[in-house]
Amino acid sequence: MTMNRRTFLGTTSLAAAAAVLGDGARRPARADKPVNFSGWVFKPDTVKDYVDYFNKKHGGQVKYDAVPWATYHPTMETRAMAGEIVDVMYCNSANRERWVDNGLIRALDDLPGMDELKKKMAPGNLEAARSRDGSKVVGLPYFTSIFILIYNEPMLQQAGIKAPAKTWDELVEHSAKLKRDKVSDTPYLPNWNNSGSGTMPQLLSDCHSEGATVFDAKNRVIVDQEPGAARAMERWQKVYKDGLVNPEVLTKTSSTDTHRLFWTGRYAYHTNHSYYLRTIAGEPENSKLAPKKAKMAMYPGNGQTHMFTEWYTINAKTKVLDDAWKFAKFLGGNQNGDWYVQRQWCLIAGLDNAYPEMYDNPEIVASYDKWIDLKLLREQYKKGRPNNAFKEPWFSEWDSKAIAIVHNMIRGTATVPKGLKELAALQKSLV
Amino acid sequence: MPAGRARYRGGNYRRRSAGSALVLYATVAAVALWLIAPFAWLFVTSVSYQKHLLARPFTLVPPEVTLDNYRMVLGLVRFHAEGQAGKILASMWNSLVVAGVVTVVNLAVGTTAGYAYARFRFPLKMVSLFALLFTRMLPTIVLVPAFFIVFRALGLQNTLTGLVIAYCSFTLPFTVWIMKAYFETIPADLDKSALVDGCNRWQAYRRVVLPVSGPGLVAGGAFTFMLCWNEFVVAQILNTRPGTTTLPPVIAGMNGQINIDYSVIAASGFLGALPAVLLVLIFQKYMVQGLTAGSVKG
Amino acid sequence: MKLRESALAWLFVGPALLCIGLVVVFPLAYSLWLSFTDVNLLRATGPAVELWGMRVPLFHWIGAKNYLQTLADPLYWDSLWRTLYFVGAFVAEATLVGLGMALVLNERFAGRPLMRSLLLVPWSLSRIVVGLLWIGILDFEFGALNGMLLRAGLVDGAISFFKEGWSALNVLISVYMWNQAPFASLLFLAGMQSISEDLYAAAEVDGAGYWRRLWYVTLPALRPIVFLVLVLATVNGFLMLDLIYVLTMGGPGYDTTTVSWHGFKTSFTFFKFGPGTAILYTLTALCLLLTVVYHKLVLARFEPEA
Repeated sequence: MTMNRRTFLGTTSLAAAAAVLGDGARRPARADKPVNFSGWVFKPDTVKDYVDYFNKKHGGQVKYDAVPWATYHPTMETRAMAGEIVDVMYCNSANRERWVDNGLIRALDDLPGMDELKKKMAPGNLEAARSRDGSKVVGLPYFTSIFILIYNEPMLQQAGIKAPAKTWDELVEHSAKLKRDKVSDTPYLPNWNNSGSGTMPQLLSDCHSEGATVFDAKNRVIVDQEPGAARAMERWQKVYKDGLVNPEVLTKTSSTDTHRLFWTGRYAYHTNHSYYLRTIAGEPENSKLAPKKAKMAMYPGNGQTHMFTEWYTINAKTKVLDDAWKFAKFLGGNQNGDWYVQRQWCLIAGLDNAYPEMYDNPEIVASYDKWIDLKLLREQYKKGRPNNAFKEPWFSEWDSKAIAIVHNMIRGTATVPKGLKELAALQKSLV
Repeated sequence: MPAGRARYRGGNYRRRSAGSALVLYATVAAVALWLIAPFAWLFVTSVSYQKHLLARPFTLVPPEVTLDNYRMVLGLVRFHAEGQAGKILASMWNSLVVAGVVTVVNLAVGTTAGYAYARFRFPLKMVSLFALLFTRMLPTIVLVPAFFIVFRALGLQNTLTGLVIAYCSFTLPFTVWIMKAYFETIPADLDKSALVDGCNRWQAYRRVVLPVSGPGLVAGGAFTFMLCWNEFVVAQILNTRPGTTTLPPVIAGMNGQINIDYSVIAASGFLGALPAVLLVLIFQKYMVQGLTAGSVKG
Repeated sequence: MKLRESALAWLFVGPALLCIGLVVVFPLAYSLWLSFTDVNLLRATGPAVELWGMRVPLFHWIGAKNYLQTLADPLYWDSLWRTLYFVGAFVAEATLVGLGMALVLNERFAGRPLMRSLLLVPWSLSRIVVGLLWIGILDFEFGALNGMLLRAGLVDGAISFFKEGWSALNVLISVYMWNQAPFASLLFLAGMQSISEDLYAAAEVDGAGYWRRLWYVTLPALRPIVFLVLVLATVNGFLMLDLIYVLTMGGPGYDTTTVSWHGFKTSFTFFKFGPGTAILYTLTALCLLLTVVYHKLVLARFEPEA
């Protein structure tokens, strides 16, 4: 930019105004180079502890900021467009390819130690870590998630139901009975919350368990041609209409928020990410169903559920690549062989892990045993079905806009065939 | 006409029957409840523990009063969500700076223009007045994409300077309009006599009219300050970097966060509402005068 | 003299109009331009102009495509009808409640000044706080209203005010009305105070009771203010965003998605500034129309000097 008189006047007056407003004062001194790190709100106090640990133990200068889950990705995109560089960022699977395509985040293959981490990762997770064309790895796993069926054992026993439902019909039958017998107002608690971690993963899980394919080999949405998907949606409509589900769940803004309802012990069945069973069955100070009164069962139907991985990513424009990578590796892999963060997430939150060797650690196994049948969980993990459609550039917008369509189907304001057609049409409109 | 009657024009000025007085006071009580009870409840929740809010059967008077929520918001105690709650004070300061600067700019620039619209006849007066009216009714959100891109080019995103500029877009037309209406209530003879005394127009304005315009300036200033203090959408979009935004986006960001109790959010909301409420209550006489004069006369 | 006065007048209004030109007219024009382009903020670097040495990108002109796309989207029309309902109901509620409160406050009773102060409280709150405090009252789990209803035994289970679209939309309207009706009351009160006492005296001599006086004296005299309140409330109804943000985020489904929320989402969640500004510009056009109506009905009619 050549400096002419007008530019000079313009910039000096702006600078003067900025000085008056103290904008300049807040900028950090040039000498230190902090690593800026942002994530969505999930146990931010725990994350802060990791960051403090890293800063102390490894001499890092990481600055952490937590952003509300519901607005996390748009906020991070806004910040990137405003020219701010957040060096290490959480990114969920739905938005990751959008960030790759638009040059927000960088490939990690060339960074020291990446090859070893690739070898340690479970094949399914490694496959998910790769970009759409498969050429590069663009994230380190934060955690991997599968949907499970959770049931309230005392309530089922009270109603004389001996074993948890193995099929969806059975689940609906049990729920209707529990409502009829006034054991529970709304026996079933599906994760139909309004955010990216709720309704759509629940839809994919239920479609998979009905043997339906949501995306074809070319990742197009074909849900409108699948009888299994129609069955799942008809069932959702029915349980909603029959009052077997607390409608409040549609207004919740996170899966965390949703699963808290189950703490009350007023529901019989819950479908959600596996790790939420940890607070339900493992935190007596919060949940009436702890210890271990709530249990996991194999997902109904054919047992398949949706599986996806969330990521730590590195900003493509980072000016502190070495430090950012060191920190990202501390989070999403290991630091000098120490899997501190990965291990802590297993212990503290029960997050499913992308590195199988975590489950060889006796401390971790003992910890899971306190709230879940780990063997069954690993069985369920094997039946987790990842999809590759999340790597399409249209996916995040589809995923976000589809929620309203699905909610309309649930509430019966759209018929199932119409709603499913809309889901397919939405995808076509975004290509 | 006696002063007392003039003040209560339009109302019933005869003695009322006991029955109608009862109806009147019951209605007044209902209106008072409607206006203040929700805000009062916000205060009650802010000095309660969340577990008592959740407890059923419900009690209007909290069994235990606590200032813990305020301590958390003000960063006086450590707790698990202090990272989120700790942004309150800094963002309050940002709000104060932005609202203060916008108010000063508005009064400096808008008052003079309001005076000219009240007193002068000049070409394009009606056209520019209409344009002003239109900008007053404009959806501010339509300007934000432009601000977003231009501020990015200028490096003004995530700065308070940028917010000041953006806020002038919806406050300045208001200020001009309110001040115009206010100056119209000041008799034109005042400036005329000043002109006869040998003042020029500027001196008449500066030395004679402005000194008696205190109420108008207070009204315009307080209104501008309130608009800026309460603004949410623009700040939410333009200033996303931590530490650069104002209070409303921070409160909105805490709202619905499951790891923060509603009672804590209520404390931050009450704290954030207080300055604007107090400002409006303190200057209510002038604000009501200025705003109604501004609006009733168009 | 005349020429000198007009030059002086322009010196007086110049700074303000210049500022408004820079912070309103220029962005308005730039947004209009954006609505005809393929702007993609995440990606490209397109053509640009140099303004004061600063690079302001222009993006590619694609004609009316964004508008055609917007108008072809059923979601747009759904939100438009919903917005019309929202605005209609909000205007009716705000005007009626505003008028009702003004009539009460115009009576003579002990503590009237205090009541007039209370009137300012809901109106001076940030809409974020307004939403927040109504959550405290309406929430399914800890809401005070649910608590009281349950305690009084009036309901069996807590009411979910936001679960169903119709109820969520109407709750939204009423909460916004709580915030805005006091301002209408202020205007009505000001108008009532400028009605001549003699009119009431004459009506009373004719034996007119309270309601007849209200109908034949008060309301006709308030006509200009009713117009004003209607127009202001209409504009405010069209523009409301922040309450939707705190209370419903446009849901459940799309049941509380208005045009301004639709435009906001398109622009700032999906970062499609082209279609986003096109949606928002249809709103701007409506506001321009309302300004004309306001100008014709209120200003031209009741301010002869104009």
